[in-house]
Amino acid sequence: MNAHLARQFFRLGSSIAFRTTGRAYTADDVIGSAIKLAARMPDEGYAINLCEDRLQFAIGFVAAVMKGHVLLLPQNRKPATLASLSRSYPGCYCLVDQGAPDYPEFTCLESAVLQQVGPLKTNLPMLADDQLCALVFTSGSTGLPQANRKYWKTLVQGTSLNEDYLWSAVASAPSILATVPPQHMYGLETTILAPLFLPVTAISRTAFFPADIVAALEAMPRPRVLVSTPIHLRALMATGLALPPVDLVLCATAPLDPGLAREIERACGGVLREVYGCTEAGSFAWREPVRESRWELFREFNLTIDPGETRLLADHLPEPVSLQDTIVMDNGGKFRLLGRLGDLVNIAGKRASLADLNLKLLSIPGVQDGIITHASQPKSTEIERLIGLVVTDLDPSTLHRELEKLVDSVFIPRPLLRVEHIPRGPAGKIDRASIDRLLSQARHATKPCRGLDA
Amino acid sequence: MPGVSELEIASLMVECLNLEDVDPASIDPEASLFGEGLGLDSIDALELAVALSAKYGVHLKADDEQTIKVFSNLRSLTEFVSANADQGTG
Repeated sequence: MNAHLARQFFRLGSSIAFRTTGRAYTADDVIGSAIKLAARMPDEGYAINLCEDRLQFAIGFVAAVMKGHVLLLPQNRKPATLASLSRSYPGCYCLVDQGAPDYPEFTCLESAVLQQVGPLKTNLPMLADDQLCALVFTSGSTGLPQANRKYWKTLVQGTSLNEDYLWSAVASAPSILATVPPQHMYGLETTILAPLFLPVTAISRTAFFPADIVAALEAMPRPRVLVSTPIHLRALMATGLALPPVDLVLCATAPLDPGLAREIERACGGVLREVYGCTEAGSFAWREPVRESRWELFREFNLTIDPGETRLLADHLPEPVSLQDTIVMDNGGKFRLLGRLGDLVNIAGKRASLADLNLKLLSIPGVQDGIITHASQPKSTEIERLIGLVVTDLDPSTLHRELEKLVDSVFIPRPLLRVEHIPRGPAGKIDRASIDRLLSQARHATKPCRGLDA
Repeated sequence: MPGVSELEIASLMVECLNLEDVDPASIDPEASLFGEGLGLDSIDALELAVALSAKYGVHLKADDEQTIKVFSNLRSLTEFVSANADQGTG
């Protein structure tokens, strides 16, 4: 076992790790605050980190790691998700932002931000490479959330790879603004781990609307980095607001339309780098789509492509990762991404399996039959949404409420139309043409299926 | 500045959010748009922000305490758009 002083990894000192409105916090401030928070944590347990503010999230992260508690990072904060975590991980408690609404079922600890005066004098605990630090959840194909283990070594080395392949695109000490939450692996790597380990500063607050993004960028010193997704970037371009210079735009969670990529580079004068990653492995490849359509694998990773399975291996990962995408290697180590394997959907960086979504729809009492599937021809510039057909006597808002309990809201079909009957074949399958025909019939009939609370 | 009607905003929502299963006239102006009620999510909020900026020149910001209130239901959203729309559009 390799034990290292935390001091060797956390970037101690007076350089700025996080910025809130009007205030700057060093890594010393984060660690000092974390020591105080750790003292308030229960002796044992799992910490569900629900903080939205990146500084407060980071304090919770460091406190849990020092205390030896495993952080739980769920895909969403639905009551059903939290309840399932508390069943699987006895003794779990929630870390929440100061002043955030409480979760009555849980012990909630508010993160407290302290500004240190001068450098830290406390001895930091030893951290071992194989300390399990976090479980980051994805929805598994069986419907049960799948826990992806993040060991100390995985996090430290993953961050160091990001320094080589992502942050290297800008001069030193960039400021980072993000539209993605810190609970998502991409947000965790770029806006929590990077400021703790590397000379970068993250803006604590998540920017959401285009006008927020522009205002926050204007307030940042250069070099500026925007960490975002195709959904946010598309909205940003569509509003036509003038962007201040941005040196690097990182985009992940889904392929970006190359035309949009060009538009973004023109608008901000910087480089757009797409990042390919997944919760299991973190970031592992990149490309600059304006200049190169092929992806470049981080050299520390290996891809093995066999019929039916593409696997990703690296020293710092606990096990090989089976990728959910179809990949073709070119000569010279670059590769092309041909799309996802059939059953999987990825919306706004969240994954689900169609089979599982369909099982959940059918599990609702009062639903006689139903199907959730891809919309037939999504335009490349449109955000993918699912469509659904359902045979039920449930009233529309009840159906919608029941489905909301079971699936993340991004996977709720748009539209979810009511039909009399779903013509399934002998094996229970329904073909695409029948789905499209039913959709168009249902659209002409007026059988609205939700939201009519009036 | 002529006011914008609730039905106009409701129709814009139905159109830009693919809510073709919802009749704009049937949306309760005081029912919440997110979570319960219409069940919109954050992607919808972004889509709606884009549509409102294109049609009325109104830019929503999450920084404003006001925005949370603005987005609470159709009525408050309509009032916000009416008060902030560019002259001569919409």
